[in-house]
Amino acid sequence: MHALSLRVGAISYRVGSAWPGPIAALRHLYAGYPAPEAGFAEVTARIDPPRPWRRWIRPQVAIGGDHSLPDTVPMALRHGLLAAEMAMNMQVALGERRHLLLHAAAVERGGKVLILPGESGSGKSTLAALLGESGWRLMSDEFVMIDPADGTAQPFPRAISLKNGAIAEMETHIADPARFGPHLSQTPKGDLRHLRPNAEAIARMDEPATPALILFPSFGFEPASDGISRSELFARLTEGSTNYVALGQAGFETMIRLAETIPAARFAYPDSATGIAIVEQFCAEVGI
Amino acid sequence: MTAQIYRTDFPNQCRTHAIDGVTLIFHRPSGMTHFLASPIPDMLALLGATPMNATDLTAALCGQLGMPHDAEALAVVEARLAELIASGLVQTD
Amino acid sequence: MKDARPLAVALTDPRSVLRLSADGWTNLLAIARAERLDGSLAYRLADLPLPEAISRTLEDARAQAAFGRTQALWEVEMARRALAPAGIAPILLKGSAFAFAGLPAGVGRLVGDLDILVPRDRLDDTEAALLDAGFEWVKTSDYDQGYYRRWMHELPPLVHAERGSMIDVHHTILPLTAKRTPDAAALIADSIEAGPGLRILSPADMIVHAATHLLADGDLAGGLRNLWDIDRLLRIFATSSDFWKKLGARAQLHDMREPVALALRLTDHVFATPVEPWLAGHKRKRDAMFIRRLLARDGWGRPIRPITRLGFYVRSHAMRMPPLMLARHLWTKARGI
Repeated sequence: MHALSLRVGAISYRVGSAWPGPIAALRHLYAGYPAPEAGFAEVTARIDPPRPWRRWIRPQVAIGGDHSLPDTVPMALRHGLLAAEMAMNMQVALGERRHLLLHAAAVERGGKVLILPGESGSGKSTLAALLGESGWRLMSDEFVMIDPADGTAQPFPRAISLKNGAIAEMETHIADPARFGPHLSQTPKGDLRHLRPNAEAIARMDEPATPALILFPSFGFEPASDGISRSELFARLTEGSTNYVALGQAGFETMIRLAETIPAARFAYPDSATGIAIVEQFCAEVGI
Repeated sequence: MTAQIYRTDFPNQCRTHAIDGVTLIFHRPSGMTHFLASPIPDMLALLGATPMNATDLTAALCGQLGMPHDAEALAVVEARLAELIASGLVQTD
Repeated sequence: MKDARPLAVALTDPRSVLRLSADGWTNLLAIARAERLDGSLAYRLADLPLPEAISRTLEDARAQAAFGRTQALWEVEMARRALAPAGIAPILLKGSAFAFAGLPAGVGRLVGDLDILVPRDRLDDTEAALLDAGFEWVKTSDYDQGYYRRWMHELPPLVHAERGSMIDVHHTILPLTAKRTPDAAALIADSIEAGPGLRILSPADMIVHAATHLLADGDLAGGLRNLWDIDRLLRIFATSSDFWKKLGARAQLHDMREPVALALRLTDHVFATPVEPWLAGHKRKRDAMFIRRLLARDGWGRPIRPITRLGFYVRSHAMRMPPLMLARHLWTKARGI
């Protein structure tokens, strides 16, 4: 097993691979990240061949680890880095119990957090990446972790997944090419490139902050926006959480607190510049 | 069917929170979260106070909400009771 | 050979983990999670003075087990509600029984499906009541339905349309086609009321069933967890003075003396469980193969020893079905019918 151990916020990973290439790519993508706390990796993610001969013959990569799902389709070895990232995501999605998970990106400014929930294609990753390069600190691209004790958001700054058009857009914004992973074409998620968060996001990965605004983005439409009622917010956040049910009453209480105390809205936007402008407008209204 | 007595462990085993006119209920024994709109929270409150059959429940509910007490109301109550049984919030003896 | 032995050692002798390195802990947790024993392990280690990061992880495992227990007990309650009107008091089996009855074997145990045992002449009523309560069939092909109904010791698996939980309804504890035929009526006659409308097996029968489940029924995947159940059950049941005698008598009655003896030898070897020597019998050469299979997991949580595992998979089917049927069954399965 080729292996890499690293820490991202509260999660200390051990990532294993039957092939050396994906681990090398992962090591490069996460350059500068700390080692696990006290050398102890709590979470194991793995990429393995689904059958022994698939290690060499038309190699196939299956994602796994402490937790796995039965129906995941194996991927090609050239997408090994994506498979490793997906395996790392899966462990958190299926195994995290300490914090309530929201399926969202998050950025912080002045101690206040803007949360951007959404599915693939909503544009949340691109918006978060752009905000993270213009005065905001990136806290997360995929999962926002809420501490049940006090409702704060804990950073989880993994590499950002940029898809299709967003790749070229971010390439023009970021001077340092070393922050990008390899260009992966024709993955199950389209064309994809990973982006390492900037030095500030990495240095401050242990600083929680208070959620202050929740905005649901929809990319590819004429500008429009709408408030979201508390009950709808509760429903949408719950639907998008992989561990809400498993947290039991603590999950319920935490979600109520979010829905009751944090203003929320949805907005549609045709391009990044307009999207950022709308976001800043909302932020001004709530004092971020 | 109408003679059957319905019971509920609401509100004792539940954590209830009203939000935007919807009642959210966390039901501890099942670990499930329910979104309930009127008149279901009212039905649960009535059954929680006194187990009763569908006919009596309909009468009490209609009285409380000021609605006409007719066959349609009974049908609605029975349909909601079936859903509540399926979700585990209500049981029959 | 690096296998699941660290987990067996940690469960048997909790204080041994105080000597683990950070890597050792990561391996131990990966093995425990793969064997679905992380909850049980976390409870075993609950009182030890451990580094903070590790304590937090074990705390999470206990929280997960506690939630799993809530869900398992809820499924028991909903099954009770579904079957009570028909006058059926199901006998709870395995993890759900341990949790409901408050047995130590239930502590930290992650429960999968709900398994219940009902008399064979009440199968139709049980099926009807569960379908009425929102359960649906899982395997829907005609062949599988036919196979299950004619030959297996259970109804085809049922899944609840809303909750997604599964229930397995048994009428005996080994398939009708197996060589050994446990006495289902005796299991039911000796069962104990565990609560209104719910029953569990007698202690001796619980061990016979656990041994059956471990050896005569399955391919030993997840076997370590089943063996741990047996260890936990034996330690508490053996405090009763006539337990071993009863166990011997029931094993004899159900025609399961050899599987029970093997189970006792295995749990003695792996978990140092105190067992009655005249029931366990002397060690056999084949015991080593079973132990290899039980511990076939590496420090990354991957299954290892594929030849051994394949041997056990074919063996488990051979034990359930006569050879000609087995061939036909595997052929039909391979053709994807």
